[in-house]
Amino acid sequence: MNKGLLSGRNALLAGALAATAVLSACGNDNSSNQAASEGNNTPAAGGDQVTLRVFSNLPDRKSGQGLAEQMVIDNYTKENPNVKIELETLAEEPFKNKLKAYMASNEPIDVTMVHGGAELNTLVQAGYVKELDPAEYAGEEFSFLPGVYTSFTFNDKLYGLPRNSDYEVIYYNKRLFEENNIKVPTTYAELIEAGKQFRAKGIEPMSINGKDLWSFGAFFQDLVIRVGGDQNLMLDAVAKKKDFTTDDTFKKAAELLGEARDSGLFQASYMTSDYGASQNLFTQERAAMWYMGSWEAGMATNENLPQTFRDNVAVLKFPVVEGGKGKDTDLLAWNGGGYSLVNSSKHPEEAKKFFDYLMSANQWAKSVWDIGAAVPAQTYQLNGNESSLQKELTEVLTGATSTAGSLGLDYGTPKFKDDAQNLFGKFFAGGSTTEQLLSDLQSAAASQ
Amino acid sequence: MKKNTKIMLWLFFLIIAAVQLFPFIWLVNFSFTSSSEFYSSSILKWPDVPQWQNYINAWVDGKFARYFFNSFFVTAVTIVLTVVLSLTLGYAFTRMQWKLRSLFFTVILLGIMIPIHATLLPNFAIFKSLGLTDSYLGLILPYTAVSVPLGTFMLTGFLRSIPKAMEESAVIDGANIYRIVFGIIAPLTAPALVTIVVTTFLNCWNEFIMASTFLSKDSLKTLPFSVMNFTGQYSSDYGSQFAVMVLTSVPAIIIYAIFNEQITKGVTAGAVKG
Repeated sequence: MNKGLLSGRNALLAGALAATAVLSACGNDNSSNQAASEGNNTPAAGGDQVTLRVFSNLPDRKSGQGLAEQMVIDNYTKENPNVKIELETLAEEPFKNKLKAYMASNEPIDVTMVHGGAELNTLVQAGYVKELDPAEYAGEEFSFLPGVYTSFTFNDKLYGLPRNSDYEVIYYNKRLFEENNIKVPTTYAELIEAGKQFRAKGIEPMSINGKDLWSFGAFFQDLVIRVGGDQNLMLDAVAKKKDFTTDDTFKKAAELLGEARDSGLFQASYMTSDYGASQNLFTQERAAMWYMGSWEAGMATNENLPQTFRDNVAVLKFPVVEGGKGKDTDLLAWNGGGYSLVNSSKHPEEAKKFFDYLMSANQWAKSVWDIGAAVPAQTYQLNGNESSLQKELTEVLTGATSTAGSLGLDYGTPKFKDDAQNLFGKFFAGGSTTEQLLSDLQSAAASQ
Repeated sequence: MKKNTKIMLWLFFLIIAAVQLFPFIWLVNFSFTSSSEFYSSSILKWPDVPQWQNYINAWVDGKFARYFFNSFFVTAVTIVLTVVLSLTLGYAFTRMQWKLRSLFFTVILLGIMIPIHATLLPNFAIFKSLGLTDSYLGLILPYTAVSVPLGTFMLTGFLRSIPKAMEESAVIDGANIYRIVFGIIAPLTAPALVTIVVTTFLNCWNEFIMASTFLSKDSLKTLPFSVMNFTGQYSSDYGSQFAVMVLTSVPAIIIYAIFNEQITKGVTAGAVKG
């Protein structure tokens, strides 16, 4: 179940051909009377007025994922006039803090956004979120991709559903490669070489959001996967089943990471670039590549960005390492954000109805894909209006032969995440050697 | 020679002024550019087409008018409460003789040292059981509580420097305690009071942590939430955020401009016994 193997192309329907995805052999005898588009499911009770409280981390309701979430809520309240949805949104950090406050005081929220992994685990330990029955969500109406429950499952019990498939890719600018006669890299050595060539031409090779630190952790994990060919190695090391310091794969990966640091692959001020800064460097065509996740599919259709950029942005899989066991189809994919039902909800039945509606394949998944705000965690139908960027991202996902299931950074406790991020920061600031990095990571994993 | 010194001095002051004003100029400048123009190579960048849309976004999607009223209301009530409480407390601690006076003075002053973050969760729990979350009062109370200690501290210092003779003659003329505090002491301590007004204003106007913890209803939210309405999961609409910040900082700048002379007086109030 949690092997995370994507069953390739049959997990996706290309074009508007009305074929159906073959995902699981489980009988789909779901009896949750989902509202299909023409379905009318006003409750038999004549529709008592209920107000559901939804808590989310998407304050911007006019674009991106916030817009997708708002679309689903609007659809639902239109179909169920007796339901009022009281939405509360806060940006990432305040959201996390307030969710803790809600957890501590057992606030009767109905549906909340959750971060899979360590943070959801905290909520599970506190008994704040409801256990879900995976059998209910196995059917076509939801069409979840295989292995996406990993970060939402604790002690073999499911406590939430993921909303997106997040995976790391390298976005690159075709024009900059062509005009400078630089080969688009397929191996890591070529990537470093391309970096040097761009440097010589005065173009920033690769942009990265170094200030946020987490991208370093992802980059390192990508290297570990390419060197060892084992998706679980990094996660096992975080879970104290393997050792960072004794395994040759880590050693090699850390050396390659040092190469990226020392050869000037990243932009000049990469340690002080936050997300927006690193993105703008790339979208203003001053950097040839950007190391970032699949949720940036919307760049190709963003009217605010230069036309030349939008016509030339493309996706590159993380290159293979010479002599490494990993293939370029071993994808560093995980499912970060999702939704959970809350135990202290005052309207558990109505809350579940909305939750099921939100997570059905033709709601969140469809909305978020149509806007281009992210790649869903569910099978989605191509609608024919995709940008080439979206198509390429789809190919990367459906072509994946293995997936990680979680970022190594998110696989331990929140404390480990914090420690590990700072260690990568120290390493990239030149404050530690490859050996030190590994031994530091080992002690961070051990002391979590 | 003397003239030279003067010119140098003026140049020096102008440079200082420019450095002080630069952030605001930068803020205004970038509130007219689109988000994709941020982080370009130039420090200031006057856009070809000023993006008035940012201000429209700030007003409509940022719900500026609604949040502005909330901020204004909460801040105004907090300021009134803080001034009245600080003044009366300051008077009681400096002019009146009563048991446990120094103990209570210490307790009030401890309030200056308590970090807000430590009070968030307990306050949230208490407010919830009292039904104070999602109400104006749920913001006004903690805001006042964190502003009063500093105000009291400043006023006690100031009051000690005021001779008692005036109050004595007022008592002989038959003024009661209220008349003394609000009719005589208040005008005398005006510089300190203005400083308290301004610091309280700035603290409440920009406060976000408590507001985000105690409020969940959109209709009660204050201005800092307006900035957040343009925050996406990973990246933000900076242009609109800057427009919000310009609009938010205008009242603060006006207040500062009106009272600036009083403020400089007030900050040093009570420092020297005169």
